[in-house]
Amino acid sequence: MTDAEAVRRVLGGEVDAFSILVDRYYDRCARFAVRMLGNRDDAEDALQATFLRAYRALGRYQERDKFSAWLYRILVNQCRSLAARRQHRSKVFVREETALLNTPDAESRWPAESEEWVHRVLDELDPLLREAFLLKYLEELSYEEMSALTGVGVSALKMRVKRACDRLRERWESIKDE
Amino acid sequence: MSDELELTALDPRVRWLIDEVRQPVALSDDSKARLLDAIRAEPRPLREVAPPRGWRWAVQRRTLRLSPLLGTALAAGLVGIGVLAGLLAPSRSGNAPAPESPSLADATRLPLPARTPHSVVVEPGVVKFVFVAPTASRVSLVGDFNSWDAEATPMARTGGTWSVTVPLRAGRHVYSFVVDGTAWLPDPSAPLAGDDGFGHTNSVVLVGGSSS
Repeated sequence: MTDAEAVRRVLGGEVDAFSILVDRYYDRCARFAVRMLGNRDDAEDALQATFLRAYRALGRYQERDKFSAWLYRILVNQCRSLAARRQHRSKVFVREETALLNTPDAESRWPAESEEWVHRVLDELDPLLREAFLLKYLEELSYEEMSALTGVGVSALKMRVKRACDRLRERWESIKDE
Repeated sequence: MSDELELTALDPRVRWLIDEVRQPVALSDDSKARLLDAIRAEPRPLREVAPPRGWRWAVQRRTLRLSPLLGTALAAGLVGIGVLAGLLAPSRSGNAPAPESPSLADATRLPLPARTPHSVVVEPGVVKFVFVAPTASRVSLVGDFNSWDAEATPMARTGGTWSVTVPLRAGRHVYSFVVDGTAWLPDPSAPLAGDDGFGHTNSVVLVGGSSS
């Protein structure tokens, strides 16, 4: 069943058909939200809000647009809002010291238990750089798709992605020296 | 493919990070179940009904009046919304540039700076929307007046500027621009209506109901 068919069924009264869309996109959205927000609690909140808003606004969804792109626009906005509201809250990274102790040198891999480490490094990025980096390399969107989704120009997005990569590399270098 | 080249050209440590970031993420076991429960508790969503064909108010003569609040906001930097009357036909053609028209101060009868960016005319019931998007391949206007249908009101390009002129009933109207069919953007020069309920912000235009 296509996304559009599922939407038509929901709007036709088969509300359980929305679970097809949830099943189809939940994991992918969860991955983006966790990487973007840095922890699972916030990511769950973002996902709940995203799918609920999509459900409530389903009558306004236009079939000629990709459902995934429409849903992702809501998700990105939710992540932005959540990040802004909780900006003051300090993130707690479990086993942060362990991760630091296990930081590899430039020639080797990072530690196998690396999720906290990955989140920490991503969290140190400016949110706009992190968002652009994740849309580009996690979601593998084209710059044109990213621009349509974020409302930001292609050249600005390219610059954000480049700066994100530069910052990540610099962060690696600084850790080596710590 | 250029994106692949970009990826291979990245620093190996950044590439490794990308590989890690792409690993699946599992949320708590019951998170999806709780979401589905919450959705089942919601009222059933309904498809929005298209407006009656023909826009019967299109033939009605109305006067547009901008509120003082909107006028002040315009004076502070509005560049997007103009109000034109008697120009509906040439503007709809999409080829005729916007003619010179009286100033915004004339329209609102408010003391406005001399450098008001765009001029408007008070004439019955027609609003001209203008949006600058030089790199867009298509732009359309969506709002409560066309059931948010991105195909209903395409805008015409003049250089890097897109415009369309539409008849509007008196009252408050919420609208946005759709760029290249996917990006919904508010009018950068108009007051915002706030979050529309699914993470998007729209713009507001106020249309007066009777001649002053």
